[in-house]
Amino acid sequence: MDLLEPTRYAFYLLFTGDPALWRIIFTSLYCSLAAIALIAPPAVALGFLIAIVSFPGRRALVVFSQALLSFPTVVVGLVIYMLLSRQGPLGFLKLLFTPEAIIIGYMVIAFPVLVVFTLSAVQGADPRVHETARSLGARRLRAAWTTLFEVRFGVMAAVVNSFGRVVSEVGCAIMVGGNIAGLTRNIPTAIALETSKGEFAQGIALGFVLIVLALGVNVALSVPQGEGGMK
Amino acid sequence: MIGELCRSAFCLGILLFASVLWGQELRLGTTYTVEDSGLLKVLVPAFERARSIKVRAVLAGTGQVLRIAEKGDVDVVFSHSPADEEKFVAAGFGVARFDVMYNDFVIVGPAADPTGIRGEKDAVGAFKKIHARRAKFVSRGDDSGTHKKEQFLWRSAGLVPKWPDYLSTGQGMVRVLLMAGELQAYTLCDRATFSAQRAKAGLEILSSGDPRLRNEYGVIAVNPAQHPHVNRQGAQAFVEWITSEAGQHLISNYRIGGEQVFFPGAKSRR
Amino acid sequence: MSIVALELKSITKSFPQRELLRGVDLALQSSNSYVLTGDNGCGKTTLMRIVAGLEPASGGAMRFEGVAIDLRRYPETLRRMLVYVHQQPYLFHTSIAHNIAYGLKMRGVPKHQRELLVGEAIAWAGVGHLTDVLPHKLSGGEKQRVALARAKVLRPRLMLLDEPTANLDSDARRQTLALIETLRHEDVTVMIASHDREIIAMPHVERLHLEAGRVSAA
Repeated sequence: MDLLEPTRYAFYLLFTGDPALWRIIFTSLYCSLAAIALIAPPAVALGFLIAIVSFPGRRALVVFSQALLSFPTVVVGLVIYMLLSRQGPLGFLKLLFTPEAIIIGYMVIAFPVLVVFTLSAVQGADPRVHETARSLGARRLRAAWTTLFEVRFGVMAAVVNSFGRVVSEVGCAIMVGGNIAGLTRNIPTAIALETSKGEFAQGIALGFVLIVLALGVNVALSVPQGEGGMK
Repeated sequence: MIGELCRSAFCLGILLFASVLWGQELRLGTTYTVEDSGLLKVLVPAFERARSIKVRAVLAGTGQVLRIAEKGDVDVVFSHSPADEEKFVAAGFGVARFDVMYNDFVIVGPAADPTGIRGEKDAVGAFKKIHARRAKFVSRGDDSGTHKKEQFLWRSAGLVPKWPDYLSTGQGMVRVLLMAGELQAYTLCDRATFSAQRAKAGLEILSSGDPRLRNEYGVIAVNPAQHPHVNRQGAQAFVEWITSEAGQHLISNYRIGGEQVFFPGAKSRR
Repeated sequence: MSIVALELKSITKSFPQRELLRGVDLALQSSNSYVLTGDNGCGKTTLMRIVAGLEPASGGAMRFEGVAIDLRRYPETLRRMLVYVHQQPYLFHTSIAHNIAYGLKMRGVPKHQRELLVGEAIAWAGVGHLTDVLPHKLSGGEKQRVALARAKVLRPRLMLLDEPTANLDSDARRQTLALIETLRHEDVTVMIASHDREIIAMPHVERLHLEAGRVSAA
């Protein structure tokens, strides 16, 4: 098959602002960023709490969160589909096959990533951070906040990782989003379903954007880390 | 490390071996509707028994199946878009097209039927009503035979299907039926698939019977002149068998819930 | 000057395997400097951490400037009156100025005043040329001096310095010693855990010795 021609056309599509293509990119970014923005604060807080507070069942919760990391995203999709289905308990919300359904799925997928990565970042924090803050007069909560701030690169890594996981996720997005053109069709579902229709140029363009996104966030993360993250 | 290498080499060997075997198989490019209706599960084993040829089915929408066939990645095509199939043959990709069977498309939708197309005999008229009410409509949007028929109907109505609740999904018939059921939307579906999925979808046939809704299936052997490596004997055998009395008999006896959903359409072969 | 800043009575600390502190009694006079000597692992650090509220004591009593302290519920107000500096101080991953300002911020010192105090502390510690350098790029001696500035800027009643000159090369050690020397002019009680002969030999410093879980005047 000719690779050059579709690739050339892919860049033509990208740089001429093909509306269908950019709509797909927008949907991907909107759903991923909205999901992360909504779920990151509670998930980071929970990961942080599990790291610093000891309570009965803590160990089990940690193991459970880690197990959730490898939870298949299509199963997440299936469960959300059943919940949001017309006959499902949340069917009255009429959310199935909307971007919001994808956002819910993404939140569920991102949640354990954020919790576990935050947890390990905080657990990996130098114990002197907390002691130094306390000794300088910080109250318990404030010292905890300082600790979280000191491991901010770890927390950012958690956010970037969860973003990378959802932005390239395809199973759940197809199931609960339905790959509807102009509404819930995002980069991975478009590549998965539209390329088979012979839209190779579009597939290449979207694949390119996805790679740039995934690499971009990681590079953006590693730059400040190189400055302040090492001891 | 060595063990890892050995394992990789072993897997590679299996793959190579398997691909040699596949070379002798018949690669049948066919459409979702044949699979989703359950007919494929009847036809393939019967053909395999009758002619001792293994079949590997490659599923896609009609447009995509034809594109795969153009590249010589299947040996024989069994699809349902006569106009495209004739073009495929005329371009020299296929040997010849033969009618196999037909059924019809039906316009399905929610029992509540908000646009009132129930009983409408004119399919184009029904589409016009759906468009006029900007009702929810789920489209295959996947360049399949069904999608092509839908586009034909919109064209016939002189309309461009573009409104917020016209949902183009790029997915197979069963998924589209389920989505239409979830959203209580209208869609176009072949009768066989709808019969097989009716219970799950929660939709009803609202309009049918327009001659323009006829859905014709044809079979084409991929042209060995274009792709010398294709399984020409296998393809020939399949074309002969499915248009033979035995194949046609199986098709006319196939039932979903006691209902005949495909009608044998093979004329005596030229 | 005979006000007692810190008074410890029968402080004990035991671990499952051993009894580290077996009844420490000591009294530190306000504004005086003390050096606490003792073998490695004899409990110097633990004793200072107990006083700083970073570790619980197993038993005993503590009074700070005459006020009885409940060691089981270490009061937040006391944290604002004394400060502990780790042997290898931890600097937050931010600018030196922010590090020094941290404790002031915790005490609600307004911004303009904070800037003034931080500027003074930077000058005192002689780290003015390093203000654009991030902490992880600082040498051990520079970190120690920033940590001392970060502690001193709070004008604490009591400073607990844990081996401030250990692991420093001779130049860094000299600079750190000079800073510690200047603390004698401040209205602050200083307790230094150290083996450093020069600290032990400082004329204004009183010597305490921790051995077998008890403190005695050396």
